[in-house]
Amino acid sequence: MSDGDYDYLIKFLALGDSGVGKTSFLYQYTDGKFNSKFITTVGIDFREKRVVYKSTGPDGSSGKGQKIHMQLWDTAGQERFRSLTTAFFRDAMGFLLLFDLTNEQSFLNVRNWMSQLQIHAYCENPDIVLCGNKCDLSDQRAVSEDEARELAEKYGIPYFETSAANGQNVNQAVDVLLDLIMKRMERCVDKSWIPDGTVRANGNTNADLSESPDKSKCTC
Amino acid sequence: MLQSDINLGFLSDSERELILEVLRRDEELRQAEDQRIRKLKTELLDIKRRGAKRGSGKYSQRVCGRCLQPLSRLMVVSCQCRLCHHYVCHSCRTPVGPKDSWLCSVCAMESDLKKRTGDWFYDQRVNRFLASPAPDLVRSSMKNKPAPSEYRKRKWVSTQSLTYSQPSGTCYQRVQENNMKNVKYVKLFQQEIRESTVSPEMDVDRLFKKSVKGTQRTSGMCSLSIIFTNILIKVIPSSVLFSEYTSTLDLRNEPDSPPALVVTRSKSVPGLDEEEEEDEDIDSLVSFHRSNMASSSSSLNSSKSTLGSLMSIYSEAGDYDSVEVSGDLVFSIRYDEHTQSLHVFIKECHGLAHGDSSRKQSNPYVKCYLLPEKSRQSKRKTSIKRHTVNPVFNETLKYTISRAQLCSRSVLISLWHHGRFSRNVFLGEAEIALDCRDLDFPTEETVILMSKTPSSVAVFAQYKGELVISLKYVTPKTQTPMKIKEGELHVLIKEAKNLVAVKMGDTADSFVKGYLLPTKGKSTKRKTPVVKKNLNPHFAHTFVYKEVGLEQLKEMCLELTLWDREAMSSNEFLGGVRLSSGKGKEEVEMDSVGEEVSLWQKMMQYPDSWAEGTLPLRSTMGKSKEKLDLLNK
Ligand SMILES: Nc1nc2c(ncn2[C@@H]2O[C@H](COP(=O)(O)OP(=O)(O)OP(=O)(O)O)[C@@H](O)[C@H]2O)c(=O)[nH]1
Ligand SMILES: [Mg+2]
Ligand SMILES: [Zn+2]
Ligand SMILES: [Zn+2]
Repeated sequence: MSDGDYDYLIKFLALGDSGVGKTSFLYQYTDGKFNSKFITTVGIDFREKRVVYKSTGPDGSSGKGQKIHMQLWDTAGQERFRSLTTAFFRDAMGFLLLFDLTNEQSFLNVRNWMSQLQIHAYCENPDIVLCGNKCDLSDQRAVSEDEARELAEKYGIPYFETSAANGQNVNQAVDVLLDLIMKRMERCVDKSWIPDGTVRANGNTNADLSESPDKSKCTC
Repeated sequence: MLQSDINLGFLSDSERELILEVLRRDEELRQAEDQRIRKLKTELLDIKRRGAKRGSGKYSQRVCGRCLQPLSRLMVVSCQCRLCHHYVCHSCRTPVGPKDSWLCSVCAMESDLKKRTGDWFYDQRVNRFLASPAPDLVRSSMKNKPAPSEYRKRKWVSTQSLTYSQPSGTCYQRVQENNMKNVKYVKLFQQEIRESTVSPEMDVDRLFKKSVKGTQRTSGMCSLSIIFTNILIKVIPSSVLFSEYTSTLDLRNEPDSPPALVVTRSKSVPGLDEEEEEDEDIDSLVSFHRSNMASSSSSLNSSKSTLGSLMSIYSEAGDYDSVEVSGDLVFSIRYDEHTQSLHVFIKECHGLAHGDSSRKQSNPYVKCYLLPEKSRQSKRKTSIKRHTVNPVFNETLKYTISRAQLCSRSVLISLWHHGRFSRNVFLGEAEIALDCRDLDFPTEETVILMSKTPSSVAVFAQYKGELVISLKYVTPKTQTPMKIKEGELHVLIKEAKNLVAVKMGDTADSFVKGYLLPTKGKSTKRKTPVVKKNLNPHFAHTFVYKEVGLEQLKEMCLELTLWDREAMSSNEFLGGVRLSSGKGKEEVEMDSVGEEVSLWQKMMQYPDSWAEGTLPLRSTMGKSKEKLDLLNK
């Protein structure tokens, strides 16, 4: 799988409460399969997948395909693994934040997950896609699409209603996240063309970007 | 945020196992990724080197900065690359981004590489987290909190303590790769070996058989078999070196080499009154050894001679002076079937240069490598001869190696002046290819010694990884008339990336050493702590140089070198950078190029703000030829 024959290694991470379907979601994405038996994740795991990414220019033109090797980290939702799982946040370039549409508490916890991300991700506003999972269980729905969308908008992140069981919107959610990452990458490199782009810490040259420098960072 | 261990005491044994297995899979992926990145960067370097003008500054605007073809007069207006500001021809441009924007071929490739290597991401992450990647953190956390568990009990080798640099034995192993599965288990095995302290008394044979059996048991793999030879036993009697690989299970303990070398060398190497650098290292080494020896059966005496024999001076890649080369070398090379070893016989030299030109004398010794390997494993040295330019050595340096492997190799023999109180001085070298030599009926030969010419191109010829640093000039707070321009230089050593390991096991215990040159009396030497077992070490350490003026910095040079810390011998050079404005007084080496210059200037241009940069590591800090000539005048 990891033979090095690819153009980019992209690392994503799925997070959210236990039982919302992170493992199922990733299994559906990589293997197109679903298992209704619940086997809670121990600590941390990952799956891999190769995809071809075609960038779409502002004019709608599509560039040549790029081979992407995806490493999809799956974290345990259980509280007791928290210190372990959050340590992995920093290594991910993008995040799939899941909640269970049939479980209101998992939706309320989205806020907490967001603040965890702000602390532990590689920068303060990383790329995130919010997924309301188990949308196939419409009769048990406890969170409306509108309130979920509203929350996503508040954070300025995309929202999808997904089903790890029937695959609905699973690929779409990951594709959108990939697109966000690839665009951010372009911006980052663009920025480094500005001759003084490397002058940091005063924040002026990279104000447009997320990584406002960490002021608490000890430099003495 | 600094690296701190995660509390993982709550994990049960089986959970621990599961997680470690995930990390193992991740490690495989990361290794493949490292290789891919290394390849990409080597390609870039190759292209960079062809661009003759990069960083040199003095050239005409009439020539393309990349391919050196003449530019038409009309073009000069609009043909500057907005990144490197070189003037380039049409065919050396690469369209990038939207509209008609373009970059020169090198800059385009560089920014493409930033994406492909993930550097865009790591560059940002480093601003927030100076800590290691999570898998490393978790692994180390698990090691530091070893709960009495099945996992520990299942260790194949008894583990009294977990140490990184084994005081009494260094285990190496190289196994040819049959398939990925094997490699995985071999890695596992390697880790177990590394983690276990091999006590000098331990029956090496038994230890090893146990390990192999253990590996086979867990993996169901039967083709792992290793011959271990004790090349290192020459110098560290109690150490074990696992090397090479054959297809049959073959455990063989080679007879020790004659100890002649050890004895003569430990006599002639004075020991503890060497250079400052060594003093420190030796000091810590001695105390290390003492505490260790106290608990083992070896005598302090024997460890002392081990010290002497192992003490190599600077790696020549790193830190040395050079003089006009003269003289020749008499030697012979033969292959010994019985011991499966190559014998390089160093007879004598005539008419060497004076290593110490003021006293007109030399204390020469020979250093030898079996190329292409330029690692410690391949290094051999003779004793040092005192006060002579016509030394007679009559010493044989030996390499255990199969005959079949020899044809692609060559022997690099170099002569060095051992400076008691100064740097070592390079006196000349000769490279002898082995492919078309008669190694069965050797004859004595004389070769003329040659000089090596590290040019700024050669200095970067080999990809050695990168160093990420930030510089800040802090202007003085209160402007007292006395010291109106005396501020501070802060050098934040963030991390190094993609270091190239010099020892087997593909890892390094690295630290960064810094000098601000020229020194004005007080020492400007600074060191970071050692980061263990990592080719992408995070240092997050700041060197502060007080009482320096901006004007002074223009004429100064900051030398940062990376070293692989070795408890049993001298540190091994991993790479370095030289930051300066690129021009200045001749007393300091100022051959900085490219990013080394621009970052230094950025620091001076924007006081009180951090200038961050990722600098390619030089493979040698040797002086460039032209500068040497100037110095010698
Ligand atoms: N009907 C339906 N069931 C789902 C869906 N996604 C997950 N499930 C089920 O929900 C349960 C939990 O799914 P997991 O994927 O194991 O949950 P998780 O988020 O990985 O949980 P932790 O590993 O404990 O953090 C399983 O029984 C799944 O079969 C879905 O989209 N629809
Ligand atoms: Mg799970
Ligand atoms: Zn050109
Ligand atoms: Zn350019």
